[in-house]
Amino acid sequence: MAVEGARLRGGDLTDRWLPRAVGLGLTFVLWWGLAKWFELTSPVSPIPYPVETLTAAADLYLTGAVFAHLLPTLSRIVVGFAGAMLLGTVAGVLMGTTAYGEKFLSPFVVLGLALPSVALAAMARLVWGFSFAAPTTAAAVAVSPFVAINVWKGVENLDRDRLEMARSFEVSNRRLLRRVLLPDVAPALFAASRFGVALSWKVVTVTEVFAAASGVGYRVNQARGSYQYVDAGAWVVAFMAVVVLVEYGAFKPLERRAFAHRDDEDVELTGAR
Amino acid sequence: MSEHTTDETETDRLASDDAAAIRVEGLGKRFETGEGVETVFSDLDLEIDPGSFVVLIGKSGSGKSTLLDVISGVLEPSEGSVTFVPGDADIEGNGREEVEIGHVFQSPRLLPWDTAVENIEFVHEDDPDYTDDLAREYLDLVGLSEHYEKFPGQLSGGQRQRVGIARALSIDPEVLLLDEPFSNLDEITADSLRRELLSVWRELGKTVLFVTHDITEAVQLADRILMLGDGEIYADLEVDLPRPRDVDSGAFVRFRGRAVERFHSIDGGEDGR
Repeated sequence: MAVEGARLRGGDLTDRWLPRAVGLGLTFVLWWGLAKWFELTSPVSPIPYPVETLTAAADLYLTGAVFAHLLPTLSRIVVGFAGAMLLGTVAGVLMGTTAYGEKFLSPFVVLGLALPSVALAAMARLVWGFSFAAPTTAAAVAVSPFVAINVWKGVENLDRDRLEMARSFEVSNRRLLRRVLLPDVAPALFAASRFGVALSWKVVTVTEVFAAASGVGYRVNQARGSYQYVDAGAWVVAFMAVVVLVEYGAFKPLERRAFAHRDDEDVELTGAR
Repeated sequence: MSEHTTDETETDRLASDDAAAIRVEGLGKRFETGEGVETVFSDLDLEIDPGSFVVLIGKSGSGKSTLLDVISGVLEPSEGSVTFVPGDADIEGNGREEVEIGHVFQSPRLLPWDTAVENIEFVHEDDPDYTDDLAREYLDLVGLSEHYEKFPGQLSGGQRQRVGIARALSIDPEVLLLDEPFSNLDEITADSLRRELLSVWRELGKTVLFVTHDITEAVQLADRILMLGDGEIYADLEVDLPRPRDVDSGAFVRFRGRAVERFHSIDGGEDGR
């Protein structure tokens, strides 16, 4: 058994971690090559080297400077994402359960999917000015159509046979919701959540460029304005560390737990582009 | 083969206080379709003795599954009534509240995110005496002792159907309704499950109503065969062959031949093996 366990761990290492390590290594090589190329061809290189960028990002964490801008960005993402999930779930359920809801809401969802983030950010700045509401509203509006379309398809594809089975055994509505309906739409909700967080981050940071005096987007834009390319890269990397932490610290373990019964762990996303 | 007369000896031997009689009076079911009203069956009268094994056979679209759904309460009748008479009590009303009905479906309709034990637990919402030991006991009964904690996706088609049967039996039903439960399985698995079902029936003495379109299966299992077609029960046959039944014996083959002839007497057609 011990040998078998060791073999499994060995397989895990080569099957899961090696491709990731190779991918990461290649990224750094390409990044370095790009930085070198710009250094040789441009009077001022806009691409900093990986090591100096990573060092600057680490400094942001070590000095604690990162938190003054990371926390506002994260709070805007959380609120914007929560709003998008609420709006999108309500819309998706209505579209999946009633023909009227589907006909009424479909055009809004299609338009919402096509809206460019930059346009939303500019609109939010015009409407809300420099405020907490601007990036959160922009994120909620941008992300909710993606949530809606996933929940819509999830509700539409609910297994009617299982509902009939529950009825024939006289299962209560509460138990039906908790044990049948929610697990059935969970993959759709999960895919929507994962994509929603990623999209919220993009929209919030873009909006922070236009409509905030704090946040990662604001700092990246500030660094760009003063040609501090290492600084700009460091802020991006600092936030990417949080994204990786959320993905592997929260989404992956949750996914493994929620979909332990499935062979494949990948959750299909509808409407992702 | 004879037209139905109650076989006192056989039925009394199997009947127990845990079985209920089913009385169907003037039962009809209509569906509204885009092209008008479709009558599936009308004015059906039927009496099923407690503890008997009755097979309902009919061609595709004859309404046998609909009849089962009306009897189980999944569908409301358009007219008439279904009354359950528990073996040990006089009842008021239709008795649906007094009897437990176990339903086994063509596909087992298990919850894929729950283990075999959890799938059985699911239908025991209001049972204060339920423990997982009860689920394990019924899984043992259908030969799944090694699979308590497996998810449906980790079981074969036959094993999944066994869980479905264990789930239905676990509520200690007075009536067991089975809707073509073996039609999606290979013949070897189906034959093995038929033998197990008969063994469980002889042990527990439930009233069984079994739907199929397979005449051999019907003759193998039934005390009594009801043939449904053109919205009515056009034949009611008592199967007076001794058990266990050998499908290759002369008596079985002769009985089957006469049943096939009777089955096709209503009109031509391809169904009915």
